[in-house]
Amino acid sequence: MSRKVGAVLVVVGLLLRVSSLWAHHGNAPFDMTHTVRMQGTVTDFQWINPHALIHADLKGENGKVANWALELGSLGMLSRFGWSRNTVKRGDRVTAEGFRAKDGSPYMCLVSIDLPNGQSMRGSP
Amino acid sequence: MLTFCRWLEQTSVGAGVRESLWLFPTIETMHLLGMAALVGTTAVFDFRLLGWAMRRERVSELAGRLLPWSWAGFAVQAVTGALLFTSEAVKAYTNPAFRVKMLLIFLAGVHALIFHWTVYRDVATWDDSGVLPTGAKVAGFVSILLWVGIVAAGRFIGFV
Repeated sequence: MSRKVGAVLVVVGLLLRVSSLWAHHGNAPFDMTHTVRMQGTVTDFQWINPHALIHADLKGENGKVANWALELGSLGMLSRFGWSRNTVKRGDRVTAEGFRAKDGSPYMCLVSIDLPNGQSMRGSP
Repeated sequence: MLTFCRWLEQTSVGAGVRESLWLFPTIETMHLLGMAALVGTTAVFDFRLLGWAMRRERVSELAGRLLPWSWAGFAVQAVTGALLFTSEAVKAYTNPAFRVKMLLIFLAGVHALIFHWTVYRDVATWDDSGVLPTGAKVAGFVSILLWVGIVAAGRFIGFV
Protein backbone atom coordinates (compact mmCIF):
# COMPACT_ATOMS: atom_id res chain seq x y z
CA MET A 1 0.00 0.00 0.00
CA SER A 2 2.65 2.52 1.03
CA ARG A 3 4.63 1.71 -2.10
CA LYS A 4 1.56 2.60 -4.16
CA VAL A 5 1.21 5.90 -2.29
CA GLY A 6 4.88 6.62 -2.97
CA ALA A 7 4.48 5.86 -6.67
CA VAL A 8 1.48 8.18 -6.92
CA LEU A 9 3.37 10.98 -5.16
CA VAL A 10 6.34 10.57 -7.49
CA VAL A 11 4.08 10.75 -10.55
CA VAL A 12 2.27 13.85 -9.27
CA GLY A 13 5.63 15.40 -8.38
CA LEU A 14 7.00 14.78 -11.87
CA LEU A 15 3.81 16.20 -13.32
CA LEU A 16 4.27 19.44 -11.41
CA ARG A 17 7.77 19.80 -12.91
CA VAL A 18 6.60 19.49 -16.50
CA SER A 19 6.19 22.87 -18.10
CA SER A 20 5.53 23.75 -21.67
CA LEU A 21 2.88 25.76 -23.41
CA TRP A 22 -0.50 24.17 -23.95
CA ALA A 23 -3.95 25.63 -24.16
CA HIS A 24 -6.38 26.56 -21.38
CA HIS A 25 -4.19 28.16 -18.77
CA GLY A 26 -4.09 31.60 -17.17
CA ASN A 27 -1.77 34.44 -18.11
CA ALA A 28 1.20 33.11 -16.14
CA PRO A 29 3.17 31.83 -19.19
CA PHE A 30 3.14 35.28 -20.78
CA ASP A 31 5.23 38.38 -20.11
CA MET A 32 2.40 40.78 -19.27
CA THR A 33 4.65 43.81 -18.65
CA HIS A 34 4.64 44.90 -22.29
CA THR A 35 3.31 43.93 -25.68
CA VAL A 36 5.20 43.15 -28.87
CA ARG A 37 4.00 44.13 -32.35
CA MET A 38 4.87 42.13 -35.47
CA GLN A 39 3.84 41.90 -39.11
CA GLY A 40 3.42 38.82 -41.24
CA THR A 41 1.22 36.33 -43.05
CA VAL A 42 -1.40 34.01 -41.58
CA THR A 43 -0.69 30.30 -42.18
CA ASP A 44 -3.66 28.84 -40.28
CA PHE A 45 -6.71 29.87 -38.24
CA GLN A 46 -8.19 27.34 -35.82
CA TRP A 47 -11.68 28.16 -34.50
CA ILE A 48 -11.50 25.73 -31.54
CA ASN A 49 -12.30 25.37 -27.84
CA PRO A 50 -11.07 26.28 -25.31
CA HIS A 51 -9.00 28.97 -27.13
CA ALA A 52 -8.95 29.88 -30.81
CA LEU A 53 -5.49 29.93 -32.41
CA ILE A 54 -3.89 31.79 -35.31
CA HIS A 55 -0.62 30.56 -36.78
CA ALA A 56 1.35 33.17 -38.70
CA ASP A 57 4.83 33.73 -40.12
CA LEU A 58 5.83 36.94 -38.32
CA LYS A 59 8.97 39.04 -38.68
CA GLY A 60 10.68 39.74 -35.35
CA GLU A 61 12.82 42.76 -34.35
CA ASN A 62 15.93 40.87 -35.50
CA GLY A 63 14.41 40.63 -38.99
CA LYS A 64 14.01 36.86 -38.77
CA VAL A 65 10.71 35.27 -39.74
CA ALA A 66 9.26 32.56 -37.49
CA ASN A 67 5.96 30.69 -37.41
CA TRP A 68 4.14 32.07 -34.37
CA ALA A 69 1.16 30.66 -32.51
CA LEU A 70 -1.20 33.47 -31.48
CA GLU A 71 -3.59 32.44 -28.74
CA LEU A 72 -7.00 34.11 -28.59
CA GLY A 73 -9.86 34.09 -26.08
CA SER A 74 -12.75 31.63 -25.98
CA LEU A 75 -15.13 31.30 -28.94
CA GLY A 76 -17.94 32.92 -26.92
CA MET A 77 -15.82 35.98 -26.08
CA LEU A 78 -14.53 36.27 -29.64
CA SER A 79 -18.10 36.18 -30.97
CA ARG A 80 -18.94 39.12 -28.73
CA PHE A 81 -15.89 40.98 -30.09
CA GLY A 82 -17.30 40.43 -33.60
CA TRP A 83 -15.25 37.40 -34.67
CA SER A 84 -16.40 34.42 -36.69
CA ARG A 85 -14.57 31.38 -38.08
CA ASN A 86 -14.01 33.39 -41.30
CA THR A 87 -12.57 36.58 -39.78
CA VAL A 88 -8.99 35.52 -40.52
CA LYS A 89 -7.84 33.23 -43.30
CA ARG A 90 -4.64 31.70 -44.61
CA GLY A 91 -2.59 34.20 -46.60
CA ASP A 92 -3.92 37.33 -44.84
CA ARG A 93 -1.30 40.02 -44.21
CA VAL A 94 -1.74 41.01 -40.57
CA THR A 95 -0.12 42.98 -37.77
CA ALA A 96 -0.31 41.16 -34.44
CA GLU A 97 0.10 42.75 -31.03
CA GLY A 98 0.28 40.67 -27.87
CA PHE A 99 2.11 39.40 -24.80
CA ARG A 100 4.84 36.98 -25.76
CA ALA A 101 5.76 33.79 -23.92
CA LYS A 102 8.25 34.20 -21.09
CA ASP A 103 10.20 31.14 -22.25
CA GLY A 104 11.10 32.83 -25.54
CA SER A 105 9.16 30.46 -27.78
CA PRO A 106 7.24 31.94 -30.76
CA TYR A 107 3.98 32.02 -28.86
CA MET A 108 1.87 34.97 -27.77
CA CYS A 109 -1.37 35.91 -26.11
CA LEU A 110 -2.95 38.04 -28.82
CA VAL A 111 -4.23 41.42 -27.63
CA SER A 112 -5.25 42.80 -31.03
CA ILE A 113 -4.75 42.10 -34.70
CA ASP A 114 -4.93 44.45 -37.69
CA LEU A 115 -6.65 42.76 -40.63
CA PRO A 116 -6.07 43.35 -44.38
CA ASN A 117 -9.34 45.35 -44.59
CA GLY A 118 -7.95 47.86 -42.09
CA GLN A 119 -10.09 46.62 -39.24
CA SER A 120 -8.46 46.06 -35.84
CA MET A 121 -9.88 43.17 -33.83
CA ARG A 122 -9.54 42.45 -30.13
CA GLY A 123 -7.99 39.02 -29.53
CA SER A 124 -8.43 38.27 -25.82
CA PRO A 125 -10.19 39.71 -22.75
CA MET B 1 -4.65 4.41 -30.74
CA LEU B 2 -3.42 7.63 -32.33
CA THR B 3 -5.25 6.70 -35.53
CA PHE B 4 -8.43 6.18 -33.53
CA CYS B 5 -7.94 9.59 -31.84
CA ARG B 6 -7.49 11.29 -35.22
CA TRP B 7 -10.67 9.66 -36.52
CA LEU B 8 -12.59 10.57 -33.34
CA GLU B 9 -11.64 14.24 -33.65
CA GLN B 10 -12.98 14.34 -37.19
CA THR B 11 -16.39 12.92 -36.30
CA SER B 12 -19.30 15.36 -36.18
CA VAL B 13 -19.44 14.99 -32.40
CA GLY B 14 -15.77 15.90 -31.99
CA ALA B 15 -15.98 18.82 -34.38
CA GLY B 16 -19.26 19.98 -32.84
CA VAL B 17 -17.88 20.13 -29.30
CA ARG B 18 -14.62 21.69 -30.51
CA GLU B 19 -16.22 24.48 -32.54
CA SER B 20 -19.32 25.18 -30.46
CA LEU B 21 -19.76 28.51 -28.70
CA TRP B 22 -21.65 27.34 -25.60
CA LEU B 23 -21.73 23.54 -25.72
CA PHE B 24 -18.09 23.22 -24.60
CA PRO B 25 -18.44 25.34 -21.41
CA THR B 26 -21.81 23.66 -20.73
CA ILE B 27 -20.19 20.21 -20.83
CA GLU B 28 -17.37 21.53 -18.65
CA THR B 29 -19.96 22.78 -16.12
CA MET B 30 -21.58 19.34 -16.02
CA HIS B 31 -18.15 17.75 -15.63
CA LEU B 32 -17.58 19.96 -12.55
CA LEU B 33 -20.98 19.05 -11.06
CA GLY B 34 -20.30 15.35 -11.70
CA MET B 35 -16.91 15.76 -10.00
CA ALA B 36 -18.61 17.36 -6.96
CA ALA B 37 -20.98 14.36 -6.65
CA LEU B 38 -18.34 11.69 -7.25
CA VAL B 39 -15.37 13.11 -5.33
CA GLY B 40 -17.57 14.66 -2.64
CA THR B 41 -19.38 11.44 -1.69
CA THR B 42 -16.17 9.42 -2.01
CA ALA B 43 -14.38 11.83 0.32
CA VAL B 44 -17.17 11.68 2.92
CA PHE B 45 -16.88 7.87 2.99
CA ASP B 46 -13.08 8.07 3.16
CA PHE B 47 -13.36 10.52 6.08
CA ARG B 48 -15.64 8.02 7.84
CA LEU B 49 -13.06 5.26 7.33
CA LEU B 50 -10.38 7.54 8.78
CA GLY B 51 -12.62 8.43 11.72
CA TRP B 52 -12.60 12.15 10.82
CA ALA B 53 -16.34 12.53 10.21
CA MET B 54 -19.76 10.90 10.83
CA ARG B 55 -18.36 8.60 13.48
CA ARG B 56 -21.85 7.74 14.81
CA GLU B 57 -23.02 6.48 11.41
CA ARG B 58 -22.78 2.78 10.63
CA VAL B 59 -20.15 2.33 7.91
CA SER B 60 -22.29 -0.06 5.87
CA GLU B 61 -25.32 2.24 6.09
CA LEU B 62 -23.28 5.25 5.02
CA ALA B 63 -21.85 3.23 2.12
CA GLY B 64 -25.34 2.26 1.03
CA ARG B 65 -26.53 5.86 1.07
CA LEU B 66 -23.48 7.43 -0.60
CA LEU B 67 -22.59 4.86 -3.22
CA PRO B 68 -25.57 5.53 -5.55
CA TRP B 69 -24.47 9.19 -5.71
CA SER B 70 -20.87 8.18 -6.38
CA TRP B 71 -22.00 5.97 -9.26
CA ALA B 72 -24.32 8.66 -10.64
CA GLY B 73 -21.42 11.13 -10.50
CA PHE B 74 -19.15 8.61 -12.20
CA ALA B 75 -21.68 8.11 -15.00
CA VAL B 76 -21.88 11.89 -15.58
CA GLN B 77 -18.05 12.07 -15.58
CA ALA B 78 -17.71 9.21 -18.06
CA VAL B 79 -20.16 10.78 -20.53
CA THR B 80 -19.04 14.42 -20.24
CA GLY B 81 -15.38 13.39 -20.10
CA ALA B 82 -15.75 11.31 -23.25
CA LEU B 83 -17.39 14.26 -25.05
CA LEU B 84 -14.59 16.63 -24.03
CA PHE B 85 -12.07 14.00 -25.14
CA THR B 86 -13.58 13.77 -28.64
CA SER B 87 -12.99 17.51 -29.17
CA GLU B 88 -9.20 17.21 -28.78
CA ALA B 89 -8.49 13.49 -28.72
CA VAL B 90 -4.94 13.64 -30.14
CA LYS B 91 -3.91 16.50 -27.87
CA ALA B 92 -5.39 14.75 -24.82
CA TYR B 93 -3.92 11.34 -25.70
CA THR B 94 -0.42 12.80 -25.99
CA ASN B 95 -0.79 15.03 -22.90
CA PRO B 96 1.18 13.71 -19.87
CA ALA B 97 -1.34 15.04 -17.33
CA PHE B 98 -4.20 13.31 -19.15
CA ARG B 99 -2.28 10.03 -19.09
CA VAL B 100 -1.55 10.38 -15.38
CA LYS B 101 -5.25 11.12 -14.79
CA MET B 102 -6.38 7.99 -16.65
CA LEU B 103 -3.79 5.89 -14.80
CA LEU B 104 -4.95 7.25 -11.42
CA ILE B 105 -8.63 6.60 -12.27
CA PHE B 106 -7.68 3.01 -13.13
CA LEU B 107 -5.77 2.69 -9.83
CA ALA B 108 -8.72 4.18 -7.90
CA GLY B 109 -10.95 1.49 -9.44
CA VAL B 110 -8.51 -1.28 -8.58
CA HIS B 111 -8.13 0.15 -5.08
CA ALA B 112 -11.91 0.21 -4.54
CA LEU B 113 -12.16 -3.43 -5.67
CA ILE B 114 -9.31 -4.50 -3.36
CA PHE B 115 -10.99 -2.66 -0.48
CA HIS B 116 -14.30 -4.33 -1.23
CA TRP B 117 -12.79 -7.82 -1.44
CA THR B 118 -10.50 -7.58 1.61
CA VAL B 119 -11.02 -4.96 4.33
CA TYR B 120 -14.76 -4.44 3.74
CA ARG B 121 -15.55 -8.17 3.87
CA ASP B 122 -15.70 -8.19 7.69
CA VAL B 123 -17.34 -4.77 8.00
CA ALA B 124 -19.90 -6.32 10.39
CA THR B 125 -17.26 -6.57 13.10
CA TRP B 126 -16.42 -2.83 13.07
CA ASP B 127 -19.54 -1.32 11.53
CA ASP B 128 -20.46 0.69 14.65
CA SER B 129 -17.02 1.70 15.91
CA GLY B 130 -15.76 5.27 15.61
CA VAL B 131 -12.18 4.20 15.17
CA LEU B 132 -11.73 1.59 12.45
CA PRO B 133 -9.06 -1.08 11.82
CA THR B 134 -5.80 0.04 10.23
CA GLY B 135 -6.72 -1.52 6.89
CA ALA B 136 -9.83 0.64 6.63
CA LYS B 137 -7.90 3.79 7.58
CA VAL B 138 -5.19 3.08 5.02
CA ALA B 139 -7.87 2.49 2.37
CA GLY B 140 -9.55 5.81 3.19
CA PHE B 141 -6.23 7.66 3.06
CA VAL B 142 -5.10 6.05 -0.22
CA SER B 143 -8.49 6.80 -1.78
CA ILE B 144 -8.27 10.50 -0.82
CA LEU B 145 -4.73 10.70 -2.24
CA LEU B 146 -5.85 9.07 -5.50
CA TRP B 147 -8.85 11.36 -5.94
CA VAL B 148 -6.88 14.51 -5.14
CA GLY B 149 -4.36 13.30 -7.72
CA ILE B 150 -7.10 12.69 -10.31
CA VAL B 151 -8.59 16.17 -9.83
CA ALA B 152 -5.13 17.80 -9.92
CA ALA B 153 -4.03 15.86 -13.02
CA GLY B 154 -7.29 16.82 -14.74
CA ARG B 155 -6.76 20.49 -14.00
CA PHE B 156 -3.13 20.27 -15.17
CA ILE B 157 -4.08 18.99 -18.63
CA GLY B 158 -4.38 22.62 -19.75
CA PHE B 159 -1.10 23.68 -18.18
CA VAL B 160 1.51 21.12 -19.26
